[in-house]
This record gives sequence, structure tokens and C-alpha cells, in this order.
Amino acid sequence: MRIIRLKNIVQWLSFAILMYGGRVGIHLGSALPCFACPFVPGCGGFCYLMGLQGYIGFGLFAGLAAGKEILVALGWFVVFVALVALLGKVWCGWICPFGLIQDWLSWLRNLVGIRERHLTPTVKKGLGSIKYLCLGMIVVLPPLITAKILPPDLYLPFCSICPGKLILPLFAGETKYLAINLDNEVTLWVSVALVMATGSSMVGAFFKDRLFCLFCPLLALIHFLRPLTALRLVKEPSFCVGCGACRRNCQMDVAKIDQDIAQVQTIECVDCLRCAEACPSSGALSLKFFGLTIYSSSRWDTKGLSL
Amino acid sequence: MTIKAGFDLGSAAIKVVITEGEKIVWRGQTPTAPGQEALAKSLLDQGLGELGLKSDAVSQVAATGYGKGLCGLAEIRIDEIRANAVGLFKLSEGQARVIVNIGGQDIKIIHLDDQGRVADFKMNDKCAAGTGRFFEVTARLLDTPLSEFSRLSEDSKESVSLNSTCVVFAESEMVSLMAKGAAKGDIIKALHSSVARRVGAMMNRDNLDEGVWLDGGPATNAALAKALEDELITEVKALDKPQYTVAYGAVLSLS
Amino acid sequence: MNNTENRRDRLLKKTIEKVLAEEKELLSWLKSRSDYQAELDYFLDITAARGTAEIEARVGRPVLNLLCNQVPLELIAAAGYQPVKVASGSLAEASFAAYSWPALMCPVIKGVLTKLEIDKAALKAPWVIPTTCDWVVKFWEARKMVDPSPGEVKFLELPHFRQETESQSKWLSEVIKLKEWLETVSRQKIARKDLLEAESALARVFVAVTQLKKARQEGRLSLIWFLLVIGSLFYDLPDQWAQKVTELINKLPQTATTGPKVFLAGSPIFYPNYKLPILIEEAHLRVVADDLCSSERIFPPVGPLEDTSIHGLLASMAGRYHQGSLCPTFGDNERRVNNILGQRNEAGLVGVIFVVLKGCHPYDLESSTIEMTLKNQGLRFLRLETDYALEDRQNLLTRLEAFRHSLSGD
Repeated sequence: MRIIRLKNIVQWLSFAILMYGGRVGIHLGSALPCFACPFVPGCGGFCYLMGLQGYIGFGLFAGLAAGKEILVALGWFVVFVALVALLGKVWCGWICPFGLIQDWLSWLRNLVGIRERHLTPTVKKGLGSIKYLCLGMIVVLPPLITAKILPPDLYLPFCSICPGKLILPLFAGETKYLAINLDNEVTLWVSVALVMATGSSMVGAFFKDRLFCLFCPLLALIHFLRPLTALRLVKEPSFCVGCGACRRNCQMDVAKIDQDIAQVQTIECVDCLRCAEACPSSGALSLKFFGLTIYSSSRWDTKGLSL
Repeated sequence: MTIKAGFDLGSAAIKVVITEGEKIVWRGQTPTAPGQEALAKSLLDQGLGELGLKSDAVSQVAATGYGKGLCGLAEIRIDEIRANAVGLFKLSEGQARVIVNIGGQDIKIIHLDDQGRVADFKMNDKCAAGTGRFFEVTARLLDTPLSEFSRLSEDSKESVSLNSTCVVFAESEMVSLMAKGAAKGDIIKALHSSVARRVGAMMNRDNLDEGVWLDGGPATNAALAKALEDELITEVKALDKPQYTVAYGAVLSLS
Repeated sequence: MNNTENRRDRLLKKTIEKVLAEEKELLSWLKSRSDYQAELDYFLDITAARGTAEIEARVGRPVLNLLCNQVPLELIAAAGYQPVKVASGSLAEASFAAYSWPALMCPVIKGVLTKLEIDKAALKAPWVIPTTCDWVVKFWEARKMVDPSPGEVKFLELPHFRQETESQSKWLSEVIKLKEWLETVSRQKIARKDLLEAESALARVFVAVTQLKKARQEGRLSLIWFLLVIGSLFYDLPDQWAQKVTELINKLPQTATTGPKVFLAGSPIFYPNYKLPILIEEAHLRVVADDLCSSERIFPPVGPLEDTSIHGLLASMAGRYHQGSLCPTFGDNERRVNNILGQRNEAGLVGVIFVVLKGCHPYDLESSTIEMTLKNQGLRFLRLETDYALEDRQNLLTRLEAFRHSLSGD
């Protein structure tokens, strides 16, 4: 079977579990390194970003007084690190439900026959810095909200503008995040921001594979933990002839993957393995788990061809 | 002791050695002409006769050289590169690491490992520049036997040069040098440096720290060895009767 | 004047006879081989009948001639043409060219110039020429001497640095212009559907080529048959050819030939000049992989399609045929050697034979850089310089035999 087909199956299964698991009693906890959105009624697990914001804001202050909350916060942090250490970016490419939705958009674009747009390196770098802004927001804003310096309606600031919060609940029939919230001025602006962020990410992801992943603070967090990660994409430069098939097939347009270097898992890489499938040199690109090869490019593999 | 024979059916000469054990007991050569096998056979018979042996005394025959395929007598046929390596390694008592063999129409550069196996080799492409043919043309032109070349070259007083490595062009260059009154020795010296340059062009990149062994017909020429030393900047050694190394190597490869 | 023309015509007539004799000799030798089998007849037949008119009758679409392996075959096919890479391995054809052209010229180009005089229909077909080596760049000028009113031609200005972003976008614009040019000469639009169909057809051919490579690596198919079969690709419809290859593969023996396993690199080897492959076989060496542009590199590997819009398909083609080409005319081709090193363990390589056709300067230069790299990696290396003439057979065989012995270590 094509590795990409296997990935698709895993994506669909993950989607089912993470979006509807709660309905059959599955809940995978509050530290998932992907957009398993807590705003989806009956979901099967929570995105760690929500917990992180909650603990940084509420938990941090309450924890100083109570002590117990901080242990819970640390506990979930350890779970998060462990999950990332185990699967790394596979969370992004293979599990994240929001990633799958973006892949549907690419599929749709291909169906219509519209070309994919590629970002110039400068634009890409500029847009990529948005994820650090988001990360900054996740760390800085919650304590300010808890300290009542910022209004309480900004609670879970990243979630309030996260496109996942608008899109994913729709699949469970929850449409309320679509509407502009007119409760007060803050909610008005926050909901307008959400609609705009969602609209632009979806339009963007239609024209450019997984555009939103460029902005994703979770992707950055996972990348920071790369030294601990057991599952990683590895390149053997001495087998690479520099044909560029990897780069042309890369969803994230990782620019340096075809260069004469070993370290190719850049911050934007989502382990989708399209590069390894496209690579015509045996063993040049591999997915390794604790150094053990799980999948490797092969000159004999023609399964990915559209016959 | 068993008697064995090795034929080297080269482009210029046919060489035959007869051995007893690993010892060479007879050597002989004759210019190459049509009917190579018959020539080799009569050379062998001549050798056996001189040794007082019957013609069926030879237990095994090995052949090498361009004509090896034409030799039905031979039990084994091996390529001359390997025969050269085996022969010279043995005769140099395991010292040779680089061989420069100047044959009738080719130049071979052979690198040996410390077991005497061929580690690498080069051979000139279709061009007689620097080969034995070059010497023959010169000998005919100057009406001087090859055996005189070394001595005449050492007597050279004036320095002249042959600019062309091509045998054909060099020949006409020599004619005009003769017309200008250049001494034979000067022309021969120029020939030697021309050959040395050609060999140098083939092997300047190689590692020659342990010296090279000159082999093949022209290897008896001490002045040529000197010219090669100047060109390659390394010691050039030669065997006593270098033209028989390859035929001897062929015998050694008989089991 | 009349007299010279007469002489030239007579010479050409004699050349045609010699070409036929060369092919006939090879053909009867091929058929007498112990590994000959009936399934190979198909490929022998289409190779023998490779004149432009014969190809057009067989495939039912007009021929478009091309040189080198940077022209996207699927784009030509999508425009309704049969892409035919023109080449010549004929000694007689190359020798005839000496009538007009320099002796040290590339024998392939010499042969092609003569071929054009023999196959008049090839003159009138449209041509696509990427500017690879000097011989190819100057080819059209020389060709105009053969026929002062040549047909349509499209030059693809090939940027000689395949890893540079600017070169890559320049090449993409060349490929886009090629599509527009094809639409003009064929008077029909190339639709997305046409491109997708052509891509799929080439993918099926690639699957067949992969089977051939596998069979050769396993020792079930000799280099000589491999070269013949893969070279006949241009004379047939892709699906028909792929089908016949599969039939051949299914009938190949399971027993493998033996001999030290070597990689064949360097200048291309074209039908009917199988001098080197024959000598390699005589020396009991077994070629398990190669990177000749007439053989394994006949077109770049086909991969999955990511962006199937027209622009996306053109961009993927542009990348494959430029960045993915290991042609020695590129100025940043250092990683070409990784194609050999990467197959070393997989194919069990012990040595590399590098062929330099006399007059083929890019390969000549690369032979030195590759030799140094490979020797540093502990692989044995043999460089052979030759042309189409047969006189050096003995000299080459001596080297190949000594090389084989140095590989088997005795």
C-alpha cells in the first residue's frame, strides 16, 4: 500500500476518534499535540493549547495558593512532552483533524484544476513568524486576564481566534462560533477576528497546501521538543543526487530538503512523507523511530504513480 | 621438476620463456609476423633443443599478449596486465608497486598491492605516442640499433627538443632536425624526454613515492630510465631482461 | 561540381548499404545468443523499422524529433506527437560525416547528421533541441547544411546550474514556452486532460522500465538486451511498449548470470554500436546498473503528482527534466556520483566502468572527478575512451579482463 494512502487512513481514523470519540466514551486527555478541539461537543480529547492557556493563566495563580493545581498542570505538561517525544510531527501530518480539513481543501483545488500557489521565501518567513506571535499570546495574555488587567472575555485568547474553533465544531453540528458575538465590544471584536482568521486561513489553505500550519503555535512547540523526539525524518545526503523530487512534492515547501544536508526536518515539516515517497534514491529519505527505519525511499517503489 | 612454458604474443615481438619450477631456464624472442602460434612453437622447440629436452617435456603452456586468443597450445590464457604484475612482482622479490610497461604499441601503468595483485591500471588509448613503435621508427630513421640508444643519448652535448608526441609528426620533426645537422645522440635524447613526458602525462597524479619499475623492451635503455626519473621525480628501476617479464608472469599463473 | 555531387551521392548510397550490413550483422549475432528468446523479436523488429515514416505508420501520430533527455516526453505526447530521440551508433553513419565534418567531432552528432540524409522524412518533422553540450548547441547550424530549408525547431535554452532557484524558474518558463510552441505547430490546445493522460502513460512506461532494471540487477537480463529494449521505447506507443516489456519480463529465465557486478557510467551507447557491451560481457563482467542517457537515464524517474493543475504539471515536468537530470553539461553536478554510491550496497557493486566517447568533453572531464570520488570510497574504477571504430577491441578487452581480475581479487 502507498504510504500516503496509509497516512490518509490514519488521518480519517484520528478524525473520527478525536471529533466523535466522546460519544462512545473515548477521551484521550487534555494534552494532545494537535487540534483536537475542546469546543467540539462530544470530542475524543483536548488540544494541549487550551490546557496550556488555562494553566498559565488560572492555574498558575491558583496553583501558587493551592499547590494541587500546579501538580495537575505539570502532569499534563509531562504527558504532552511524552506524546511529542513519541510521535513528533506525525501529530501534525497524520493525526491533526484540522490538518485533514486543509488536505481536503488541497484535494478540492486539485479536483478543480487550479494551480497551487507557492510563497516566496521572504513572504514565507514573514508569515511563519505569526506562530511565534501566537505562542507569545498564549504565554503572556492569560496571566494578564487572571490579574484582571485584560477583560475576562479574552479568556483562552488563542482559542478565541483559532480557525479550528470555528470549523471543527461544525462537524458536530455546532454552528454558534460562526456568528458574531454581540454581547459586548470585546466579544464583538474577538468574534470578528475569529471569522476573519478562519476565512483567510481557509482561503489560503485552498490555494496553498496547509497554509495554516505555517501559523500554528503547536507546530512550533512540537519543533522545540525535537531533541527528545523518537520519530523523525532523516536524510542520507550521500545517497541524494539532488533531483528535487522531495521539494516538489513537499506540502510545506521545505526549501532545503533537496540540499546536500542531513538535517531536513525543519520547523515547518509535518512528517507527511510525500518527500520520501517521491524520492527515487533508495534510502535517501527515511522515517526513523529510535533510529529504526520504519519507512524509506526506494528506487523500486512505483506505488505512488498515477497510472 | 616440471618444465613449463610461457608465450607472450605481443604486437612487436613474440617472447617465450621456459621454466623449471619457478626458475627461468631459457628465454627467446622473435619479431611478430603472421602465423604467431607456429612462430611461438618453433621458438619453444628451439629452446627445448638447446636445453637438450624433448618437445613433449613441457607439461603446461600459458599464453598472454594480444595474440593469446590465437594460441591453441595454451592451457590458460591470461591478460598481459595481470601477467606483467605477477611476473614483475616475483622478479622484483615483492618490491614492485608501480610498473610502467612500454610495449610495442601501448603503454601500461600498473599499480600493485602488497600481495602483488593488480590494484589499478591505466593504458593509453588508440595512439602509438610514447610506445615501442616510436623507438622503432627512430631507429630506422637514424639507422641506429636500439641497443645503441642509451649510450648515444648519454653522449648528447646539445639540447634539442621534439615538440610533437605523435609518432608521425615526430618523425618529420626528426627529419628536419637531421637536416639541420643535429647529432644522433641529441635527437635520441629528445626522443627519450618525449616518451617520458607522455608517460608522465598518464601518471603524474599517481602516488609514486616508492619508485617505479620500468618494464617491456625499451626498459633496457638506461638513458630512458634517467629521462623518466627526471619527469616523474622518483626512482626508476628496471630488471635485467625486462622483455620477458610478461611471459614469465603467464607461466607463474599456471597452477 | 556535378562530379562532386555525384561522388557524394555514391558515397551516401554505399553508406546506406554499410549501415544495413552493420545492423544485419548485429541482428544475426543477437539472434544466435543463448539468451535470445522469441519475446525479444518485437523489440528487434521495431528497432529495425525506426525510420520516421515507419514509426508514424506504427503509432498513428506524427513524429517529433528531439535530442538529449531534457525534453519532457509527456508534453510532446500530450500535443499529439510521437517523441523520438534521434541518435546514431552507426560507424558507417559517423564515418560518412567525415565528408563534411571535423574528425574529432562527437560521433553521435556525426551519425545523426548522416541519418538525416538517409531518412528524409526526419528532416521535415518538427524538432526540439535543449542546449546541452556544444555539439548539440551547434547541431542545428550543421543540420542546415544538409537541408537549407529546415522545418520547425524549438530550442530550449537550458540553464546549466540545476540547483539554482533562478535557473529553475528560467527553465520552467522555457517549458511553458515549449507548450505554447507545441500548440502553435500542432494547431491544437493542450488540455489538462491531455497532460494527465500523457503523464499516466509515461508512468506506466516507467513501471515497465523499473521491471527491466530489476531484471537486469537480478542477472536475468543482459546489458545488451536491456539497451536494445529500452532504446526501442521511442519507436512505439507507450502502452503497447510497456505491455510488451511486461510480457518479456514474465518469460525471462529465473536463473541469474554470474560475474563481478559493475556499474556502467559515462557517454551514451546507441544501437547498433554494442562494441563495449559485447566486450564487457566477453570479459565476464556483469553490469547491474548504469547511468547512461541512452539507457537508465533515458527519461527522469516519474513520481507521484502533487499539483495536477496545468501549471502544476508543467512545473513538475520542468523540475524532473532539469533538476532531476544528471547530464554532465551541468555546472553543479557533483551529486551525480551519489547515484552510484547509493546503489553500491543495494546492487552489490564492486567496480565502475566509465565510458568516454572520443570528442565527448563533458563526460571526459567528469570521468576524472568521479574517479577520484569513487576511489576514495574504495570502489574500483576503469575509464575507457573509445569511438565507434572496432580496431581497439583487443586493447579494450585486455583492460576489461584485467579489470575483472582486479575485481575478483585473484
